[in-house]
Amino acid sequence: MSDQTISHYEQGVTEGDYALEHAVADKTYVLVAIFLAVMTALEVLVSYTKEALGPFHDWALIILMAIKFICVCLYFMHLKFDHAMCKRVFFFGLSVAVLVYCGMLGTFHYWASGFR
Amino acid sequence: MAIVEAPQPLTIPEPAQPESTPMGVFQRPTKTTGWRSWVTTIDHKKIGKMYGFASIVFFIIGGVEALLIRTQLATPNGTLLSAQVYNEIFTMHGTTMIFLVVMPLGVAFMNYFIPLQIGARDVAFPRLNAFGFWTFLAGGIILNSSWLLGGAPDNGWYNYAPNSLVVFSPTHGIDFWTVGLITTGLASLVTSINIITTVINMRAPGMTWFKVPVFTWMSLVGQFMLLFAIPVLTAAQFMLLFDRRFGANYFEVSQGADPLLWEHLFWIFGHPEVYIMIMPAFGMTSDIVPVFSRKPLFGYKVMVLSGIAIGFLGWGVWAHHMFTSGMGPVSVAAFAVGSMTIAIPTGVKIFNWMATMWRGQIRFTTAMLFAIGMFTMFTLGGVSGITHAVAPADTQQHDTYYIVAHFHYVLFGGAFLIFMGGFYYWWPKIFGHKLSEKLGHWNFWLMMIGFNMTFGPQHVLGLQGMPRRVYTYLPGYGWELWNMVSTIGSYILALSVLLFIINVVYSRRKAHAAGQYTCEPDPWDARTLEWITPSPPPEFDFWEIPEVRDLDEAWHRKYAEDENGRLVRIAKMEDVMDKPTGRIPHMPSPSYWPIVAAFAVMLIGYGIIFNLGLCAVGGFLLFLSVVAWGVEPSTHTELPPPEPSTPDSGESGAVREIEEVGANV
Amino acid sequence: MSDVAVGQEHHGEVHDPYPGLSPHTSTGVSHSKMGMWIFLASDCLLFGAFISAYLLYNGRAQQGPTPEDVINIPFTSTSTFVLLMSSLTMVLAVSSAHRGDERRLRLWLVTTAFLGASFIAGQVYEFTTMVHEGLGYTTNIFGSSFYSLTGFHGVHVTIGIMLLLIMLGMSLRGRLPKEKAEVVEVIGLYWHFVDVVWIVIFTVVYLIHK
Repeated sequence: MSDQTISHYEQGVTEGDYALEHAVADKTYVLVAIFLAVMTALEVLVSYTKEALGPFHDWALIILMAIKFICVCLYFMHLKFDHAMCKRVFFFGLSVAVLVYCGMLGTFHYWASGFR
Repeated sequence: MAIVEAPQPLTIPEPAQPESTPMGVFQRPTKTTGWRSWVTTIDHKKIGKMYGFASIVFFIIGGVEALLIRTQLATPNGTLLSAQVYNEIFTMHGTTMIFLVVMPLGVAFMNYFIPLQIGARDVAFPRLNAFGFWTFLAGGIILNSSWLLGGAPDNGWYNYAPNSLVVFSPTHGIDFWTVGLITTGLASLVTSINIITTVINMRAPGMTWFKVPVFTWMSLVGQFMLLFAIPVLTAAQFMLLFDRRFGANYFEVSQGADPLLWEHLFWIFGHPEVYIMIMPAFGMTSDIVPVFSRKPLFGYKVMVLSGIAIGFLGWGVWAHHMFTSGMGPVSVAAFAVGSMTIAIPTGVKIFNWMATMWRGQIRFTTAMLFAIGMFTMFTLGGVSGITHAVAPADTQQHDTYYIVAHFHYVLFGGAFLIFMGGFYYWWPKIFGHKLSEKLGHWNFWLMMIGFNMTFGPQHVLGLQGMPRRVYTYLPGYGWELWNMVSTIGSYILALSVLLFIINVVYSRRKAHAAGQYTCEPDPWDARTLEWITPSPPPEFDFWEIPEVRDLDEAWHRKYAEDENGRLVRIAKMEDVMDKPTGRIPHMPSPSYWPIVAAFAVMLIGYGIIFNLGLCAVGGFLLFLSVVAWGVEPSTHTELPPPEPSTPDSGESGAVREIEEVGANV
Repeated sequence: MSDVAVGQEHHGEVHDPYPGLSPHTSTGVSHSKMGMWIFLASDCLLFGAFISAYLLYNGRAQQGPTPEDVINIPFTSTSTFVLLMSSLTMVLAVSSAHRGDERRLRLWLVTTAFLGASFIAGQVYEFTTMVHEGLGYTTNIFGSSFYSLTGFHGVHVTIGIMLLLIMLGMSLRGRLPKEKAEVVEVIGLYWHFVDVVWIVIFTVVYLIHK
């Protein structure tokens, strides 16, 4: 966002160009979907092994969730290939949400004993 | 890069034929004058005017409520208002002033001037803009109709749970608060999406981020904060609504709920909210002070970055409203430190405004007086704010008049004073004539005296222990003197507001009697892009979208620097302003659907309070109007004939060219 | 949606340095797409409030059924899978729209709407069962916070289904040609967001706290 960066507009690059250069093949989408299904199955599996995993149980689920979340955003929602501003706007909102609500739960001493 | 020939513009002789209506829905309206043109308008300038007018009407309502409070508290054992009515009055005063005055007044200025400042013809979503206004109005009506429909909300503008639950607040007052503010919240949300998209996507060629005027920048930061803050409030309000209406248990302590959940959710919204209110004010000050100091803003980049910093840090301080709630020392310490930190980028701004004035050629116009008033009064409010950040001291100050003094200094002394300045500054651009400077000076000084007399003594009262929200007090505490002074001050303040209205009416009559409906484009010798348009601007804002080369583009078209760095005038604004080209840009047509959809929302709102059947009706109407909105055709508006074409255009003025437009979504 | 898009026109006047058909915005991204991303960013805050209220109140119910009593992982896993697949069909719809393949577009739109409706049907069944097991909306704070959160999500899904059907109708009337593919893309963003929120809810509400 500095003065040195000339605007997208001035470069003459357009939405159409992005779409052409970064078209994602249908096959890729299907592969991503299979990956997501596998991740979901893994999550369900992990959820049944609460005793075995101990404290790592919750974190494992969070990580799997985050991977799925990011995959849908980057591929299905095309954020990987679109203008950076879309990514910035969305992840900014997401970050504010995560930080603020985790902070709020913190004031209730929610994190004191780990995920309950 | 795709290589496509620029399509030839079509030439259609007047009058243009409207497109057919494929689904048999209503034709788009075409009126450009009369009440119908206001009700169906999607022009950001008209919408800005409506926001401004509505805000002033609500300001008067909220002001009357304030005068009632002050009259009641002028003496001990006041008998003007009962305790119940007093609670309703102060609740409505706060709610009205915040949601129905300061916020929409900011939006009024943003709506009118952001497109002009960035070189755009309108905002990104013009019909959504209109919907935002009518929905805001619906919310204000719902809220204020409570007076006539069983009693106003009476639990403070922050409406803490569980006092807000049915068992403690059996009348519909709280429901009016909840539903009214969910409605205005919807308006705020769509408006923030609109303004953010507009500033990101519609800047004129050459206007990179660090050439954007500070008013637009600060407004953008504020709108981002609003975008994220409103859903938090709305969620809390839905939770309260579900508790009251459907028996949910979000705040039912006997079921294990925690009242602090409300406080947190409310203040996660509530603190960013105050920055949302002050951001456009900061921006306006940063636009006005340089103009009347004949100097560029000192430290433009720092001003922008400090605004962004406040936008970030503002999310980390909310629980300083809850220091005495029993959160525990770790939370209190964390939020105390955050609250002190946020004073740094704020203080930077104050110094930069002063540095801008330093060694400038100051012109003490009314606008400049209000700007100086703003940052001096805001500084006083900020200083008392710093004392709140010191949590042990706040334990003494909380819920006393010291807090009331603080927030009136920053909100009235900060935001409202500069909005007054904005009126005086931008009035000639909007209405084609200036407000009387003489009356303006009286307006300013009377307002300053009245304001300081009203709220200055409240610092003392607070430190003497006078609590907030008490409908009266006993004699013998020593509070009589300053309460009386405060009340007298409030009447002087009211007088100053009356003077402003007199100025508006008088100046308009005088100008119209002299046949003056337009004036010069740049009466103040100003700096930013809106001043290159005619006063008032044409419907489509710019004949030709400007190419922007500099920060303070309008200034650099008029002035250059010689080899010694001295200012040299190279042109008059009349020579370099936006001139008619003989081709009228094609603007979107007006539409019925925004106001119909807003009406549907209002029906749903009343339905939630009184009768769920009404909700169904409103919901159905909303669905229909949104679909109609989506499929309505765009007809060509009958714009007034173009100005006589410039000598070298080679075209007769009667032919109107329709420009190709890009992909519509 | 047939509004003349302000600020996206060619500057056909005087000189147009950027001839072409794509939106001429400062970023090159259309207003609708940018606006949708901005809206979705705000929706994170809405769902975050309900999710964190649920988390806060988890385990604090004074009486009545607890999550362990009523949550049915196998059933909800199936619903989750259905919603995930609807994201795939959505993306295939967008792809078809960009190619101008209107028949495929309609096929994938119908499939997505059907999968979404199946998800909702699953939710309705799940909730009915829970109510029979004694967990009503007003029973305790678990009931209130659980049903409110999943209810808000369900409303979002239902609105999404309505949007999909409206697009289907538009396509059948020939009003969704290749040039208008972006409409499908923008609605697709909303649909994926609704899916992504469910990814979070499924993990945090069902799996971690079952």
